Amino acid sequence: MSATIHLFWTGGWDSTFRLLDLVLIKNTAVQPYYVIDTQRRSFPLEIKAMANIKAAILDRKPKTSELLLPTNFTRLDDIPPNRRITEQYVRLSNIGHLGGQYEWLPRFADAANLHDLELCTVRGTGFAFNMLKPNVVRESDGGTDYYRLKANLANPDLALFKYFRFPVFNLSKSDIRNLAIKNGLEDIMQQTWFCHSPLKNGSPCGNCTPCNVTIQGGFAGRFPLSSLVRWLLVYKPRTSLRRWRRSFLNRGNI
Amino acid sequence: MSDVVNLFWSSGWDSTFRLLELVLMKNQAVQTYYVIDTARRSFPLEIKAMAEIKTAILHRKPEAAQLILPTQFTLLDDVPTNEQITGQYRRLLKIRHLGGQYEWLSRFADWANLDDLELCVRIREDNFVSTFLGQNVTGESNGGFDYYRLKQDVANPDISLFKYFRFPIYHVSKLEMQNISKAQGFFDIMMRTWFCHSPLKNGLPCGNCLPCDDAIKDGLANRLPLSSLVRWTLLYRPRTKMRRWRRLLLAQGTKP
Repeated sequence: MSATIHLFWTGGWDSTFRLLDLVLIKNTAVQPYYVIDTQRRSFPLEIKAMANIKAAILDRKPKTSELLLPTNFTRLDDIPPNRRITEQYVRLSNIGHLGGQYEWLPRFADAANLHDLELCTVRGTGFAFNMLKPNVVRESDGGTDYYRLKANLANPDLALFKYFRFPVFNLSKSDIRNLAIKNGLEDIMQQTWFCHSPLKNGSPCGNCTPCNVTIQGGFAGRFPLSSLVRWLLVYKPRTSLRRWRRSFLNRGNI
Repeated sequence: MSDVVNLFWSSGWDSTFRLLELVLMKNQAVQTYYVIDTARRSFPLEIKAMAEIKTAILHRKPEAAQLILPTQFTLLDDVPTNEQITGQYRRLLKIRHLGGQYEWLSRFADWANLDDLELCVRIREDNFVSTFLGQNVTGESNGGFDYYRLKQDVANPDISLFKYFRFPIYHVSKLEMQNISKAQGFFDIMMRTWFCHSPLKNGLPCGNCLPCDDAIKDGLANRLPLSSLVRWTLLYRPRTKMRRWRRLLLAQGTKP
C-alpha cells in the first residue's frame, strides 16, 4: 500500500467515517478527492460540511494537519470524456439502476491516473452493491483491509470499477454508527451531509435516495419533522408505485 | 511570458473579461485558479457561473475552450498560514481598508509557488489600488501581453504583499470592457458573470454589498433587479455616506 490513501470524500456519512478512521485512529495520511457537480443542488453543502469536518478534526487533534492533505477538487465538466468507460456504464445500467456517479468517477480516476481510489460503497441492497458483491475479493495491505475487483469478472463491463478500492464494503450504515460511537467520532460524524436535493433553508429534503437510505438506516433523528412527513407521504408512495409498476411489467414479460 | 497564463478567476466581470480576452482574442492558453471560501455566501453561484461560462465558450468556439485548462480549486482552509504575509496585510490594514482576500490570495500564491498570478484589480479614484499600488507599479510588456506589476523598490516594504501578482486590466474600466466585449462578440458571455458577495435566497444580487455598488457605479445597474437597486439606494448608499461622514468627523477631531 502507498503511504498515502487516496479517498473520494463527499462530506457524507460513509466516506467521512473512512477519513476519520484513517487520520484519527490509524494515523494514516489521506489525499481526499472531490468532484464538483454544479447540477447537484447539494454541492455547496457538501463542500461546507467538508470544511467544518476538517476544522473539527484539527481541533480534536492538531497534529493531523500533516496527515490530512489539501482536498483535490475537480469540476465535473473538466473531466475528459472516455468512450470505453461511458459504454461500460451504459451497458451495466441497462441491467439495473446504477447512479450517474459511477460513470464519471471512473472517468475521473482514469484521467487522474488513480488505480487505488477508495470509494465508500457500504453493505446494502442497492444494485451497485449486489452487482459488485460476487465480483470483489478482500485484500489486506499494510494493516488496512479493503475489497477490490477480482481478476476474473462475471461481466467484463464490471471493469468499470477497476480503479477503486472499497474499504467499507462489509459495513452497513448502522455498523459505521456503532464504530463511530465506539471510537468517539460521533460528534464529528454529525457534521456530515447526505441529502442530494436540500431545501432552500438548508434542511435535507426527505425525498431523495440518500435521505431514504439515511432514514432506513436508523438516522431519522437527523431530519426535521417536515422532511420525515415528506418521506412518508411523497417518497415512500412514489417508490412503492414504481416497484409495483416494475413487477407488473416483468409479469407481462414472462 | 510563459506558455500558459496563470489567472485567478472568480467568474466576476473583470477576471472573466480577461479570460475571454486571452482565449477568444489572443488564442492564449490559461490556467485558472479559484479559492473556495465557504464563509462567503456567493461561492456556489461563482462556481456555477464558471461552469456556465466555460460551456458558453465551448459552444461559441470549441478550440478556445481547449485553451482553458481545468480550473484548480483550493479550499481556503487548506491554504497554509504564513506569518510574514499576514503581518504585512495587518499593517497595511491600519493604513486603509483592504479586503481580506488580499491576505489569503498572497498566501495561496506563495504556497502554490506562483509569482505571476494575474489578478484583475483596477485603479479607481481613492480605492485601495490607488493607495497601495498607484505609485508602486510599473507597466511591463512580455510576449505581446501588457500588464502592471510591483516595482523593485516599493515605498512601503509591506506592499510586497502584492509581489506575486500581475495586473493585466489595471487601467481598463468596466464600461471599456463592455464596449470591447460587444465589439468582439462575447458580451452575451460576459452577462453570465457573477459579482454579488451576498446573494439573496432567490439567487439575485443583493444591491447591498461592495461588488454590487461597484457594478452600479460602473454603469452596469441593468444587471440588478429593481428591488436590489432600491436596496442600494435606501440602504447601501446612506450607510456608506454615514460611515464616510463619521470617518471625516473623527479625522477632524484628531487634528491638532
